[in-house]
Amino acid sequence: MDFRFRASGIWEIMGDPRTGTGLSQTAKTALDSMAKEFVYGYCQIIDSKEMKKGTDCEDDSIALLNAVLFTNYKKNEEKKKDEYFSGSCDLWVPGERIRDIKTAWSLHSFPATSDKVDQIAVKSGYDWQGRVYMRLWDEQAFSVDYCLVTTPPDLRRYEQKELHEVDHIPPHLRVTSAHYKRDLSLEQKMVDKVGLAREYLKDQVARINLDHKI
Amino acid sequence: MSNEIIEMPQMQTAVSTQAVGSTPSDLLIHAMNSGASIEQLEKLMDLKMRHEANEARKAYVQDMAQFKMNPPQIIKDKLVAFSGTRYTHATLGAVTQAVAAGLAQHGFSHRWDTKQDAGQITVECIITHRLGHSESISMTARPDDSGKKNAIQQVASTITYLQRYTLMAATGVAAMDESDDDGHAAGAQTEPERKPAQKHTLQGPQFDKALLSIRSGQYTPEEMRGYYELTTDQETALSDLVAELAK
Repeated sequence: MDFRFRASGIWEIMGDPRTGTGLSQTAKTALDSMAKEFVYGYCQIIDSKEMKKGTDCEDDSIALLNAVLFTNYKKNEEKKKDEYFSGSCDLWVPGERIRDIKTAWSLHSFPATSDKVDQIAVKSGYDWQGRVYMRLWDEQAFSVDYCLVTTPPDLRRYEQKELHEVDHIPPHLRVTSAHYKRDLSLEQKMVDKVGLAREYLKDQVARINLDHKI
Repeated sequence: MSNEIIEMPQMQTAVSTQAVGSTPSDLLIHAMNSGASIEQLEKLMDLKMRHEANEARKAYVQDMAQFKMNPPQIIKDKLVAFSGTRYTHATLGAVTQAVAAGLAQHGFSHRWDTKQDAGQITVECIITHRLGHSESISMTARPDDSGKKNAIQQVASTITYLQRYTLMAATGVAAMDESDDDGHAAGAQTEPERKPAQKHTLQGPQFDKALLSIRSGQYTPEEMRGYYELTTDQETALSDLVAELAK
């Protein structure tokens, strides 16, 4: 029973504890939920208007990025996995980089500088997500591309129209990117954390089963 | 003094006339006080009820007209996307929430009665005004057996569909936005409403970069024309490049 970690969820176990080494309390809490989902056979689906826009408008965001970079990138549909990780990146530019598309909810939440994108990426763990993709696709660079596209009216509902209808803004002002290089030491850190997480998960699964022994 | 004597009878007359009044209710009270027969009272009671019903109907029409002058906005709150098809539609919850709130402001409430008979489901939407007048609209359909619904879901789907449409029909809202989906979905389907993206211009250096991308095969003329409004000179340069690459 070796758990493989999804790229989008790896950030949850990457924090360091306040003292010593091992897993952080945040990581343990996330792993507790994973153990429970494994034993009880369910999967919690987290949904929000921001996530829905990300899914519904992904094609628009890729088209915007293509218009700004003058490229014809297509959405990657392939899912990859290795011994530790699995994932499906948004865009793969062979021999160049992995690109992850993030669709901003509104003009207000859109990061207008690469520093802001980096802050969000670090806070939300997108950088770790990218490191998993770089490993799986064996690429040396990764970009987080924040795209600002018009929010469909059914998602925007009663929110301020001018923060959501953004087609009039020049395309180059509606894409902000942050770039990352592959770092093998950080990759090793992820592998180490996965090792610790697997041990913790095994213990938690055993504990749940023990507490409910027939 | 003489003025007061003259005025008093006039006031009494006025009060007396108002007490009898001209409405059926006034006549009924007057008749009861005058010792009218049961038959006379029944006729007056009947007259009173018809008068009130007529007043309620007039108030219904008047307030419904007011409601329709400023109909509620129906939010198409559900996106359906599959196999290249993409549209939004208003769910029953969105329709009901918007319409009920608007109706309440004008003294209306609504309810549905549902019946099943010989495999047919009939939903009646009843709109009632605060003065008691009601009007209703009924629609009948078979259970919606599209997709992989079980028997209960088929009935529920049709009821949901009919509830939405009877409410809209009874109140006259959103009819302009709707297109029929042949009852295949429990949603008021609407045409895709997304506007085509606004085209932008390309400045000199950007245009040169775009041409380089086209030359290297990373970008296409179609994509450029699809996203950007090109000037005559840019269009000429692009056409020249396309011709050159075609050789």
